[in-house]
Amino acid sequence: MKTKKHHLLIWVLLCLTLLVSSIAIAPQQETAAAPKTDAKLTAIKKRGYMVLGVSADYPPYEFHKTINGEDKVVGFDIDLARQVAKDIGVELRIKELGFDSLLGSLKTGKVDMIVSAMTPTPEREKEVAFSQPYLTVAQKVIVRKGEENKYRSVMAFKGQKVGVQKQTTQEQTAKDELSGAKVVSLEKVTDLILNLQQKKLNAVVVEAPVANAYVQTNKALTLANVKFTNADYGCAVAVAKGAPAYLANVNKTIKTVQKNGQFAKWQKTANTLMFSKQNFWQAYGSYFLKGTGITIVLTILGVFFGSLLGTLLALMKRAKNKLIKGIAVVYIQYFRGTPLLVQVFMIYFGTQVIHLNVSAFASAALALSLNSGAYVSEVIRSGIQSVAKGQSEAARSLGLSSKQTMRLVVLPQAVKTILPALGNEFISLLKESAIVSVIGVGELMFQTSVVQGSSFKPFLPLVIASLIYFALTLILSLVLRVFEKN
Amino acid sequence: MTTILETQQLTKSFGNNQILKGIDSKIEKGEVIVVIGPSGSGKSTYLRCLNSLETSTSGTVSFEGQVVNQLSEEQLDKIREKMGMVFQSFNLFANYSVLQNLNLAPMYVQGISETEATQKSRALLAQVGLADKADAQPTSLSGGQQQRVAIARALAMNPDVMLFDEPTSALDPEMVGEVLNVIKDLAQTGMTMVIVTHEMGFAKNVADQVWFMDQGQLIEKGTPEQVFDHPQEARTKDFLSKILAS
Repeated sequence: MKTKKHHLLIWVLLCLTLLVSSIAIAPQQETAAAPKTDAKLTAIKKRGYMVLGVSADYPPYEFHKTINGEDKVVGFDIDLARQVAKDIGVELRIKELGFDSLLGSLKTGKVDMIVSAMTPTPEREKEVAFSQPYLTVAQKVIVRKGEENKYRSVMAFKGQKVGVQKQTTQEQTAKDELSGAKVVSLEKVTDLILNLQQKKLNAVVVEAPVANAYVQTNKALTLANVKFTNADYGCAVAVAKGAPAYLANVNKTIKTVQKNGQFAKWQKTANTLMFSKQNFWQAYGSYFLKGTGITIVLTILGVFFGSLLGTLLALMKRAKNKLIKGIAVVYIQYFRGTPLLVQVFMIYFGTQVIHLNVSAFASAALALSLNSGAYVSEVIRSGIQSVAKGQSEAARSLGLSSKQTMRLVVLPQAVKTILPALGNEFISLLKESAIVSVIGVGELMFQTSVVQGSSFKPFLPLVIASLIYFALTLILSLVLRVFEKN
Repeated sequence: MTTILETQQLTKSFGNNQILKGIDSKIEKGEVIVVIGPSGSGKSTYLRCLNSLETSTSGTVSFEGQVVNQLSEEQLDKIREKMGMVFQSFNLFANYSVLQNLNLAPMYVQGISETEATQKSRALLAQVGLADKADAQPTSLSGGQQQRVAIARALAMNPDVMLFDEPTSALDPEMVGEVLNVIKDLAQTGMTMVIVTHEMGFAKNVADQVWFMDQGQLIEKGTPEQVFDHPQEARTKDFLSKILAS
């Protein structure tokens, strides 16, 4: 179960967001009894659609499936969200994000609700409002087949390595109830299964629907007969705080679908879809193709705008004006001195804070361009420095201005040094672009984790992704070599 | 006689290191001045101050009656047009052919058409004996040929004065002659020239005046006969005895 608390980073960003928005927006008043409508509900109705935030790599809750040749996000969470929208009388739009980015997106208004197998925790309840639970689930222990007899009680795990998803309810349960076990926390369920298969872990604690899925699709794994005493919990829909009428609408939908058996039907459909046999390539080939395409487009955009920006910065850094020079120096230092991951989050959430609704793709392209600009400017600077000083002295002694000297003499020679280095920057940007998967841009790495999740094959998609990246960088470096020779 | 270049109490420091310690000098139109002196005496720095490649620390530099110290970058560019400079390491533009090296400044600074510039450049190349090298790349030429191209390139701007900064120091011995001959021919045309060199025979031959510099100061000036045959200052005598002994 994905009951992760957020990444520390998101908290910092949220605090920033809160700080800024508390200055910018007058505090909304909360009323005790749910009124007929509220600002949020009115806004959604007026807009005619609502945005669902979901991390669609978690079958059977939410996952990608190719149905009749078309890639779709399915699962009972999606069905529930669609029903909520239908009951309000608007269209549903799905926005895919990394699980870590969901709460941030809800708080900054990029999405209207989260239905993504999320469990209410005290920390989360401080940030957003939760509906009543729509599903209660138990937790299970997966072990390698043949070893299930070793693990018949919670006491049997003493000294054993037990894997859990980081910052989840399972992590807590394992620590509380599997006495003496060495609990290992990892990011993704797929990673846990991979470790279990390779005997780096002896057991994995996950929630029942997920455990069942893996055991059914993987013959080397089975369930251990272990009962936890205090481990059932619920999944709920998250919405922004301060919208009582909106929340009441959500609760009403949940109550209805549980009563009339609709939710149970959705669960069944999701399970069937999840286990429907498909040829791996037929089912997932298009994901890799799409991801590769987006990765290439992002890289091209990043390199193009990065080069423009980098040239500008390199010129600014040579300016006599101290302010212009200072701006360039600080900019380059900042973007080279902070992780790209932080920059991506800053831009994606930061633009929302200043009330600009920038899409994840645009944020990613922007972050890559801004980041690459800093590196390109250094490439250009060192290229310019590589041209012998005598060249510009000779030009100046003939009466050429400093601009003419740069344009006619120095830059044409610097290009010889700049081009190969720029090629390296191109290659490294291609690889770095994997980072933007965290804000849900559907590039290669994002698609890879989607496939990992929905195929229950944790390793193969990684191999494929690595081969694609390798092929791309190989082709790129060959092209560059030809280019350099000319 | 008209004064083309003049310096008054010219000093130049790099950090705490004072290279020029108050130079008073005057160069008249049509004069050929040869500056001699030991390495590190400030000869090159003096030359670079004359066309503002280096900015003086104090004192003044005047060109054709105009004090250049206070001029803007654009005005300095105008002044540099009229002063040709030849460097020790040739500094031909590596990204252009020989002809393009000559054409560049006339076309972009003076706005002359390519046809006209080419015509003139070819004449200049013929003048320095390199008519057949117009389309060659600089790196394919010998050092002596490169330096002759560099001289032609400076002449392409019709300068009022030519500055030579040790033009033969980077050359193999057998190539020194061809470059000095070009400079000698140029001196015959009445071109005003300031030449920093270690070639004493050449200095005697071509100079109207020989200046001896040491430790950032102009120690002695005079005709070649005066300076070489009857030096007045002890430092000049010392320098010349070392040079002639070798």
